[in-house]
Amino acid sequence: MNDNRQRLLQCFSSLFPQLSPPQLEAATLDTVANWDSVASVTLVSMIEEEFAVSVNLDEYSQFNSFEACLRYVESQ
Amino acid sequence: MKLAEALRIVHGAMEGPSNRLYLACSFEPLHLQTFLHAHCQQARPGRRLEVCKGLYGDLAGNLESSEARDAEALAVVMEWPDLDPRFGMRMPAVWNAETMKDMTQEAGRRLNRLGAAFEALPSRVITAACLPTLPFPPVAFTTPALASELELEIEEKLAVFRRRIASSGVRWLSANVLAIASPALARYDFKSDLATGLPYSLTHASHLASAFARLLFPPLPKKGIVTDLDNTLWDGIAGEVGPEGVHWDLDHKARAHGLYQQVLRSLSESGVLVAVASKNDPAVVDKIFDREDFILRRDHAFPLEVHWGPKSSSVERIAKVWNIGLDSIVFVDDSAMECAEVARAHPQVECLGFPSDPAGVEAFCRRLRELFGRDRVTDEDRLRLTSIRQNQEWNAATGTGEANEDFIAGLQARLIVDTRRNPPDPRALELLNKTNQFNLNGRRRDEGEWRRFLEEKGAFCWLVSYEDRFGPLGKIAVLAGRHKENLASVEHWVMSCRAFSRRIEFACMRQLFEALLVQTVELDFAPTPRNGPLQVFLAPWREKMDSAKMVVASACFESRCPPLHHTTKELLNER
Repeated sequence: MNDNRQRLLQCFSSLFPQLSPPQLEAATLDTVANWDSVASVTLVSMIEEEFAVSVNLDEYSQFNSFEACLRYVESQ
Repeated sequence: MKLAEALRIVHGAMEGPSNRLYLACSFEPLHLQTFLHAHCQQARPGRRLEVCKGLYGDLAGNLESSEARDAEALAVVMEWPDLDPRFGMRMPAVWNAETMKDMTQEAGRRLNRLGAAFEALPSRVITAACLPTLPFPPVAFTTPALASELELEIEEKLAVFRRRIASSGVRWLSANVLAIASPALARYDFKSDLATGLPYSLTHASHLASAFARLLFPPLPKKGIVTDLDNTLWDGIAGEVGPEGVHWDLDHKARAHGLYQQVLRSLSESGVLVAVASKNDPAVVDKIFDREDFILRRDHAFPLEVHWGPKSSSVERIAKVWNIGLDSIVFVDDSAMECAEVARAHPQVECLGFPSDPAGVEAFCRRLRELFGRDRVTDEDRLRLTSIRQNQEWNAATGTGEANEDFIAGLQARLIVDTRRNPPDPRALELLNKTNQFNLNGRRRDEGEWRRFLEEKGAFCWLVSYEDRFGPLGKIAVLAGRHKENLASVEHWVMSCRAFSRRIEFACMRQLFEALLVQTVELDFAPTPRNGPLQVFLAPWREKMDSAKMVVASACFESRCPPLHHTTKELLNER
């Protein structure tokens, strides 16, 4: 597992501790019950902190699944 | 603390009954709430915490409705928009000379309302608060380097406001301490403010939350510091250069050591026990302590362990003289080897290396303040070292056995029983939570629980002071419980170890029967690994020590009570 994926999994795990690693990797806004607007904002903040990136306001909506977050992180 | 770590702490909290903390602010607390929860949970590892927040946009309303939240603790976070919404950056506003005048007046009105809300808070709720922590908004037409009239007027109003509230027991966050941890320019997150309503950067939110946790749930302060001498308390090795060859002043480039002496003296005069553990020639050390320019005087430190033996043994002996646990002691030495030796023998002792670079001494002194800081200095604190010396004299007078009857009768012993509960004397809770040996059941109370208990109907709390011809011991015992008709039910009974051998416990028991006019006293006893002395006291009235409520009748007590010679005075009026 590459480093970015592992670090992103840690972020998701902190936010959704009830999910297993496979469930986290498959997680989307539509499939996780407690992935609400507060969770979305918290996720973006954690990613910014963990990966030292700054997410533009108009990019927030892209962070709607684990894979989408990973694609963003790997593109930075 | 990172946000992910804070979330893990919050989600990992244990099950069970929780205590509630109410976060009152007008912005969206979001990550501040998470960090506050995590830092406070770390400060209270044994109890689950629940953090609730108020309504967006209404700090005063949130404060006014705080009692309905039934919270044990309250964190109040003010920001500029609470003084006037036009100070905020999220909504449009007009900034000109006229509106600035109006904003100043509005700030005055809002601070009045906030002041009234603070003053109405019940005293049982532990409250901590901060004034605005973000940089002053760019409202005025002056350059930012020049403090505008608006900024000066607002600062003055805030200073008056804080002074007004200080007497109501609110714990104000120190702006200076926050400035060290959280640089001003790194606090405001404009993007976050616009996107979520939380104006703080993650780092500032974490630092602010950490500071609040220390205010609301402070760690127990350490009680004693054992210090080395050479190249610690002074610059130089006394045995090599002689008593006049060691220095601690600016002229000899040794002022860092003088600062350390100054802090130790200040600690001693506020009740912290100070002792010396040094491998040195006692005669040389004596001469240095006699120097006129020595900042730490003889009566500031006791005992002085000056010899060539291991420092771990010195620390152990000092702890016995002080009669405190090793986990309450800080050991300071410039030698890493000595620190390691003490740490290996006594892992509970906090060992600190005295900085070799003078530049590090100022921060070191701040660290000592953190370890020993307390809300107030009481008469007990000032008496502490004196009473330890008195105990040494007592032990010398009585020898190794129990004092004889003539000695006890001639003590001129006097008890003062303070029954006042409103406001509660903080010494009572301090004794309850730190006493182990003479402790009825080992149960502790946190501040919120204690305040609620004291407000219950029928509750009593006696704080007992003692003095005799050897001098005052200060406030040394607490009895607390409930009084109902012909029964006094004692839930807490603690007594400081330095008060042993004076039959104070018997006098307290007699006072229960006489002052409360009861024939029966019920003691909520439970054995603990350390309350042996209490068990010895109860033994005459109990065949078998186990957990159960002990009931002692007045006649039974008197039949086994030794002669008592104390005079007793009660302080009865509510404050």
